[in-house]
Amino acid sequence: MNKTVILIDDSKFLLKQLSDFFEKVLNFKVLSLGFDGNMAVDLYQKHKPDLITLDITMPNKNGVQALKEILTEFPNANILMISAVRGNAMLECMSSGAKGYIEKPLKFNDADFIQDFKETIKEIFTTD
Amino acid sequence: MVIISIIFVAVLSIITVMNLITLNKAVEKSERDIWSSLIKKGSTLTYNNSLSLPLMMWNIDETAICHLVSSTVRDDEDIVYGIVMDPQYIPLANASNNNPSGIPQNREPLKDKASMWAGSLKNSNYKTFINNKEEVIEFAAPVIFIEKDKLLGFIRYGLSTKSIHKAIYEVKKDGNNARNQMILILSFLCIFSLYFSYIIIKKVANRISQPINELVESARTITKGNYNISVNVKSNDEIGNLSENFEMMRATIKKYTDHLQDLVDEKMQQVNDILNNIEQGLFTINLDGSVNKEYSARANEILKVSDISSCKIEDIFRLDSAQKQVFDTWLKLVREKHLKQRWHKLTKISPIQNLELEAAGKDHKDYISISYEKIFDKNNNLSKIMILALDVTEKRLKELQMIEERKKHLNEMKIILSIAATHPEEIYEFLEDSNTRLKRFKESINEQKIISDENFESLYRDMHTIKGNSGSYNFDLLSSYSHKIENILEELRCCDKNKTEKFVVNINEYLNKIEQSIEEINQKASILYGRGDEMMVRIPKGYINKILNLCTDITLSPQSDKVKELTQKCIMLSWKPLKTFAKKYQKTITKFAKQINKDIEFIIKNEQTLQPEDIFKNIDEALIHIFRNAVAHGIEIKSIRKQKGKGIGNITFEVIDQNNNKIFIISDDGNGIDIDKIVLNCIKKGIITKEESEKLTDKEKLELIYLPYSTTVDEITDLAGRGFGMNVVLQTVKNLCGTILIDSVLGERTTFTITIPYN
Repeated sequence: MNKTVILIDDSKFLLKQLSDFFEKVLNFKVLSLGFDGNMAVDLYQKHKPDLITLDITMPNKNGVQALKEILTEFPNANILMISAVRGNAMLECMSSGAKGYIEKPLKFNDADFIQDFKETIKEIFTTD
Repeated sequence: MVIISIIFVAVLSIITVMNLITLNKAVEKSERDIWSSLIKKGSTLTYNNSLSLPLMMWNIDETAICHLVSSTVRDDEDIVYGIVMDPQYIPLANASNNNPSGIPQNREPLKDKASMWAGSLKNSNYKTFINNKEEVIEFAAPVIFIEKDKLLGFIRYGLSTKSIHKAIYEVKKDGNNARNQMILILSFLCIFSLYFSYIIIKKVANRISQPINELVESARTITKGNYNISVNVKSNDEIGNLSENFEMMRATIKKYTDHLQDLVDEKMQQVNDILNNIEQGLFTINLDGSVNKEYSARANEILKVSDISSCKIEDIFRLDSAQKQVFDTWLKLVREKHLKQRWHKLTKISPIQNLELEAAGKDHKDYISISYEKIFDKNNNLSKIMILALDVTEKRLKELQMIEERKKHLNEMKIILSIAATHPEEIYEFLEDSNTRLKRFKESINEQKIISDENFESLYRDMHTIKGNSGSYNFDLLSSYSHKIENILEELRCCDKNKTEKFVVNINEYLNKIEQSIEEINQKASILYGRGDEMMVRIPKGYINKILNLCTDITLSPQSDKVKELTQKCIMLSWKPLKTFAKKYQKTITKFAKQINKDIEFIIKNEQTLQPEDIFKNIDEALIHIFRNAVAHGIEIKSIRKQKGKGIGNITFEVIDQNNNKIFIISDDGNGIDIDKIVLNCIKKGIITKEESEKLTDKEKLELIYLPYSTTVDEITDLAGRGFGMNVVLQTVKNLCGTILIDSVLGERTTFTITIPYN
């Protein structure tokens, strides 16, 4: 059984890329895509996926808020932050309970980037 | 510690081995002793018997002989048999366990191996035989009646080795027991001493090795960064030397135990040397954020503190309480997640990645890059975090300089392009306006003590206008400076409008920059527009954007092909649309056509393509002649065109870039060139003879038009017909190393194609 994932990002182009990557490279089943923090919370409640990825800078509700809301309701949620925001916001996400983070830009043709992505996913699912 | 343990084991093993050797020797000796005592016993017995027997045998007292032999056999367990036989091997007595009386059962001569051996003896002797599957040593001696010198017979005793073997076995058994006991004791001693030495060494070493282990680990981490410092102890060599001989080993053990502290001190010194000599600032903190004692000398210098070990982390990193809290959050995250997350992922989100420290006596800050390494204790738990501080000021300054340089170049390029894209009047108007406003602004700021509300608004308006205008011309720097002043004014607006000194200084600083910027634009404009009748260039916006993008690309990553492209584009800045050059011909044609009452439309194909000015200067004369010819001779007069069903006359002009050539194509839809008429005219004027003309091909005939005085018209007017025009065209084209082609269809059209090489 493939693991399931929900991808949240306000860039539709990026979502397409991420979705392809998760399905073809990481063998995940992409359940749904969302474009803001509200959708992230709603979709998590609806699908309860194995993993949800969140951007930090998003309209309506930012990633940090969405992360906290999801974790309040589902303390064991596996959340992967994917964002270009560096520094304290990412630290806040990690210390609030995000299981890992990936820095943008997403370099899908860079072997090192893909390796790091894979290891991050591995880390998330071996910490359970 | 390990070395000492190994040495202990080695010493004890050697002692054990030596003991075993001694023990084996003892066992061997007692074995020999047992044997020799048995031999002695047998020999003595046989000898004694051989002394007492002669008389008995001489008297042939068989009873006495039997008694002697049987009693001897009976009394000694070792003696299996006793035999007395005469020289003919006939037994006189033959005692054994089966025949205790000793009286021989028969009188047949004995023929067994032992008897044959014994019967051949001249002196007493012994030999081992197998008797009834039992090992027996036979002692035999001849019995000689000495007085008569007569051999009376032989006395023989067989002694069993059974008891000897038993005795030897006993001895060996005892020996083995002793040996086993010794091994046991030695092993115990060995283990005990190992344990003892371990305990002692551990006690000593624990106190001193803890920081060493960690420092060695730190040092290893440094060596990872190519600092080429090895802190490895060459333990293999030491052991190798030690095992060479025992004495040396013992001596070294002594030395090791005696000088353990020295060695530790030495190693500490080594680590300290490393710490003091590396270029990197290095110190360690515990997981609670407290700072440890050991650190490298450079760390103080780089981080600008007097003694790191007495500082708190917030002092070293210059953190305020909020920043300290964030750092603590990070430390907490590291504590919790260092097993689950890769180290570089954790350190990348540390709030402290670099520091900017005020440097005394320098006009710039020092830039310190901070990185983190993990240190494990002996139980493989994360115990400390090593912090590496590297002074990257030089690198950073160069980067900043480069960015500044890049900005400057980009800005300059932008100014040039903006000026080029704008009408000069517009630019000069802008410059004048900005200068007026700037002057007014300066005066009010520096002369009036208090700015009234009204004045304030006018100041603000002036600055806002400069900002807006400069922005619309892409004078970014100017726009940003005026924006800065606007901000200062904005700040002032909501509070007291009394000028403060700081305010004036601040504003003046930016006013000067604005002045410089305006001057720079002014200079660039005058260079570009030139003075008097110098050339003026206007460039389409799209083209400017292309160049700007290229500039940005190059500043980001210089590539030779892009630089080449940019150079090409810059050269092309002075190029103008074809339309600009063609305007002149348009005028000429229109004017000329009007004079001779022809309706002609001049069509410029691809009139927006950019063309260099120089080539037009050179070819101008040729083109004028071709156009004039087209108007005068090509296009028919109105009535004829009407007859032919042709509409308004068309002259088209096109310039094509092809393989480094500029190809000028001029065509008209007129009458074409009448070759026969040219030939006739030439013959008439005596340029060629009739005979010569008959040999010419059509093409050659057509080329006659280039000759001076050759013309297609009969009548010379003010405007055309003298026959020099085409000659000028040919010469001009030849001077430019070009070629010219005529393609003409009589009654329909003429096309001139001029190809000029152009790089």
